[in-house]
Amino acid sequence: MGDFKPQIIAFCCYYCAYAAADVAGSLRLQYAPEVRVIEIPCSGRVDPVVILKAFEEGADGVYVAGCLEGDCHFLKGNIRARKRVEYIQKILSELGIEPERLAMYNLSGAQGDRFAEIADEFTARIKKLGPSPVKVGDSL
Amino acid sequence: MSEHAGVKTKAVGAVLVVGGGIAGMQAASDLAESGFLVYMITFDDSLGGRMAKLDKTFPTNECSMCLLGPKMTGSLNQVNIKLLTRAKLSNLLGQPGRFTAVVERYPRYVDESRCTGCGQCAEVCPVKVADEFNGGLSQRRAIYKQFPQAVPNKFAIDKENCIGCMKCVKVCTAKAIDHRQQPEILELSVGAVILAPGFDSFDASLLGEYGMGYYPNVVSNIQFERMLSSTGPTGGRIYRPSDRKIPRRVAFIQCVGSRDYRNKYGAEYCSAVCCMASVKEAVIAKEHHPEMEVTIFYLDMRAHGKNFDRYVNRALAQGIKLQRCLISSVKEDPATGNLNVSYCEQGEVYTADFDMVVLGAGVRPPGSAGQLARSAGIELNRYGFARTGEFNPVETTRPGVFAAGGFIGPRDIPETVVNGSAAAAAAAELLSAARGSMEQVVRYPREKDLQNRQPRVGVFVCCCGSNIAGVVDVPAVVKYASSLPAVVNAWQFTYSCAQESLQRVKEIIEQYQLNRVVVAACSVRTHLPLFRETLKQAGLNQYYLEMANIRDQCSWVHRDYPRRATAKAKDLVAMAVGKVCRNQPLHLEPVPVEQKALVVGAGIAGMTASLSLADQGYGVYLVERRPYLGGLLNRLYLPQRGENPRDLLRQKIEAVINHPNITVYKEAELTHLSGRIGSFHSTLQVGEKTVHLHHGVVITATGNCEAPVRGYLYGKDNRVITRLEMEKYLGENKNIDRLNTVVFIQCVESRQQGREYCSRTCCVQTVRQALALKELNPGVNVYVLYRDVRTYGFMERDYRLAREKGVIFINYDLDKPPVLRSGSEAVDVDVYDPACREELQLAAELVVLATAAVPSEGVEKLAGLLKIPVNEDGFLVETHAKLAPLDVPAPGVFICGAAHSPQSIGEAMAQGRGAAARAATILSKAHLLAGGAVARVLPEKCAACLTCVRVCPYGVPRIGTDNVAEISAVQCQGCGTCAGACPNRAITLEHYRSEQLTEKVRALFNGEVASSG
Repeated sequence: MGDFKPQIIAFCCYYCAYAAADVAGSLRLQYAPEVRVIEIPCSGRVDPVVILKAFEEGADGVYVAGCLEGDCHFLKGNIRARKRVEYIQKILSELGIEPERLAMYNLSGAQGDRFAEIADEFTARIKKLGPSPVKVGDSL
Repeated sequence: MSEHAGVKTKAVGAVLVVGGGIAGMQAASDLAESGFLVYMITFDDSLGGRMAKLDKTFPTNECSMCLLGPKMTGSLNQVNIKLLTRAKLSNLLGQPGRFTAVVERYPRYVDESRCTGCGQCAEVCPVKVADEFNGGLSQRRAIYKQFPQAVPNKFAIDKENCIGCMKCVKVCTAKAIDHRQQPEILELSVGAVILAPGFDSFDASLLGEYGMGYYPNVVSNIQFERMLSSTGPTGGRIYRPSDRKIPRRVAFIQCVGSRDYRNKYGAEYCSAVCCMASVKEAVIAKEHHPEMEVTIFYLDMRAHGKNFDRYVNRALAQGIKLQRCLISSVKEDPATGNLNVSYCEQGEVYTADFDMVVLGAGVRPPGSAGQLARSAGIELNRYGFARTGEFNPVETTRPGVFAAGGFIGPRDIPETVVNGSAAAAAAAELLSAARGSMEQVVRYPREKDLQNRQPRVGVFVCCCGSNIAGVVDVPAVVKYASSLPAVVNAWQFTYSCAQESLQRVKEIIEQYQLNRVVVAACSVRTHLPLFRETLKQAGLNQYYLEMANIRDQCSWVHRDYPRRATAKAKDLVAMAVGKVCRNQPLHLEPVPVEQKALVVGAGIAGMTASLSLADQGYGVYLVERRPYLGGLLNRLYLPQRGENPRDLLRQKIEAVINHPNITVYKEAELTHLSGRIGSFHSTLQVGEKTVHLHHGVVITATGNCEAPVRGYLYGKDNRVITRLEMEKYLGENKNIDRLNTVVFIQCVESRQQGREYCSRTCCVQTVRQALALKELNPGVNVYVLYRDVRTYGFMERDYRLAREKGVIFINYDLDKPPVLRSGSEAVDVDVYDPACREELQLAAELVVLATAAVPSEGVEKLAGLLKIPVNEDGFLVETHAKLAPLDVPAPGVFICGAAHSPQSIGEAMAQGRGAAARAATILSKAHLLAGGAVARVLPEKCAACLTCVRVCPYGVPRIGTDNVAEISAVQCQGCGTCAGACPNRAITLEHYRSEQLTEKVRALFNGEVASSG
């Protein structure tokens, strides 16, 4: 388990999380290299199928990062996203996948430090949980 | 219109905008989007102005940079905005419509076309100087970028501090640094000029009593703001400069250098923004450090803007302490660095100890004001700001030269944005005949038809000098990329964004017959437009491009793990290749625009908007419910800063009635509206008749009215009148000489539960009325019973004059309001005076109530028709409180005037003109382009469940006649919330379709080899 390198997908809102990731870059903040960012126009875009597909394909963890609540570039997409994430977490637990493998974060586009912190925090969480049961199942 | 006729025949369709802050950017984008060429010059190295220094903005606590970033990039990428940094206006020759602007441009010593913003130069630069952007709290190098998100993302050299060691030249592999650059002088031909150089902050070290400059733990509000910023000098933590400890007790001192005309360094006016800025800083600081105790020492809490009082009340609930007082001094305990604050409250002197003191340093004219005024040939006012009229807030003393933002006087961000738009409208009115004459239209080769072709992907991997290549094994990424399915080949570039690289990309596309492109380099936020442009020039659809961010989100953040950074870069490339193969060409389709406007409400805002659009050459239907024009302006009599509202009313009504482009409908109501941005159909009920209109935009200007008063004997004793009744009384000047005592009561049934906002204009109006009373009858006793005197900005002068003339101001508390009793001789007014701590009894022959301003009756019905949200106070809700104050979420609909929030005549006129500029960005086009990355309905899957109708933040989806959802491509904003929510997946968001996102995921896991590498 020591050399377990989780595969993590982060669906990041163009206006906040993706921008924060760029700020983290320009400040040269160092964070966990396991996260793969997929840019979306608004966190409200995420749909259950895309997220569940990510787990099916082998992701050990997925998170959605949108603007701070009340701050959404598209007014309230991030509120919808949170509700959807909570809904998908229920599905995950029904499927026997720990719901903590999916998370919703909110941050502003200037919070490069917060982006790095989230990447580290979530990576640590997934490392603790170990490989996704979907993956383990595959190898059986 | 006629006075411009001579000019119009030969006017120049270009405008010079001086200033790259939010006012300048707003003016520039409104003009560029409505057919004008704009030269935008700024003396700074970056766009952004003052707003770039702010961490958060009130009253929503939104991140300032998040708002600003897209605005700055948008300005940079707009082909009709030519940005010149480090440039200033040195002379303006000619006349309105045809100016020659002489511009001096100073060298950056860095070639902007070559600099990639990598920052290696700054890393080797040995010079360290105080960073003025961070209020001197940190250091920067002699070669530097103003702030991390600077636009353009280019470095510049501060030659004064450069020692000429040439280390930067050696390390710059892009060969961008050129120490021999020379200043140049440019002559620009423009039709109008907009001055928006912003403002400066008062240097509080000039006032000895606060200890700024010699007590380390006394800081300015701007320094504090920079500390709060996560990209600031302390990374978002508040430290005491003396010992870098987190302060537990923090004091804010307001009105430092403002409302202070006795001191030679002080200023007579109120700086208008500091109260709210300090409350915001206090709230955010407490969020960062919950244990912090914050006290704000203030004279009057000036929370006169939309939703400001609520914000202050929330701050109080969060434990921020507000202390009304006069500050006498700040003294340091040298042993601890703590600060002892003495203050005077209700006649007594108190002291309190703090760990840190923040000074609410006021607003000053920009340092460049004198030079700029001389160069542009305009006059400044008594305070050194641009001289503009009360009723023409953006017009300077020189025709054809307009002003916007902080240069006019202290104001907040939304007012600044409104000014930017209003100045754009003013320029467009002058130059309407020349619209489009200088506009640059970019033409591209015919697009290749590649649908149903097998993907042929080319991958371009950027080294970004050593920024990427120093960490990521670029040749390995290139090799890996070329092995991926559908990839024809991969190429390596030292700098993919360099001109010669872009040329090479075009050649390679041709040579290898590529039909899809992946660029693995930096961020889509900064570079997507550049590479899309290259694709268009190569005849490819711009959506056949994907980028992999292997710099900002990879090499820069995993410096210590080169192998894993390389693996990540490979994954990101594989994901981009996977998606690009699924990309489809998207085309923007032209939809026609009916180049006419519907304006609802013919008060001063609606009339101003109508006249501006009519002068710009567009047809206007002006609808008024009442049988007369002018709205509330009919009820104002007293001159405002020397200008007469009666004259204004007459002039505007005459101009509206006689304008050939305006059709007025009185006693008319809007009953029905359908259609979309660019083409609305509306129905009016005009008396007995029904009128059908076709227009491209709607401007809502329904204004406000006086709230009915229940208390204070109003309606029971005719000696109690409202502030609007007082206007008429003073205007008619009957029996005023017989009055002995007049009492004004402020905040009547306002700023309390049920109506938690400030009506903004009443304090100013009361002070004006008090002065008029004193002038007509110098012997009269005038008392003003107030909660906070909110004579913001330059209006503070009237407050001072009123006090000098003997008007007595008595503060009362909401818990202890004045009590009125009808007597035979007078109305007896009982009020507690905190200054002498006594109950006073005033015998008034006249009591004037400062009634609240409430939205006009029926506004909710109209708002429903136009899909405009309404807030809990009944005012219309704009798209964005800061940056889009005149837009609403429904595309093609705009708001202005007191329907937005209570405001003065001048402010309503600025909003009216501003709304006209926003509308002209649509009306100036014969066609709008619709489509691209927008939502599309698959009719066969739609069950008309209304989910999309419910979740769309913009109210765009509707159920059509064939019982399926319809989403108008031209209305859709492209967020994809509907696509994510549709239970039957009947909606796709183009370019972010589920299968495209899934393909990215799949490509990541198919690239197992890379990840383990």
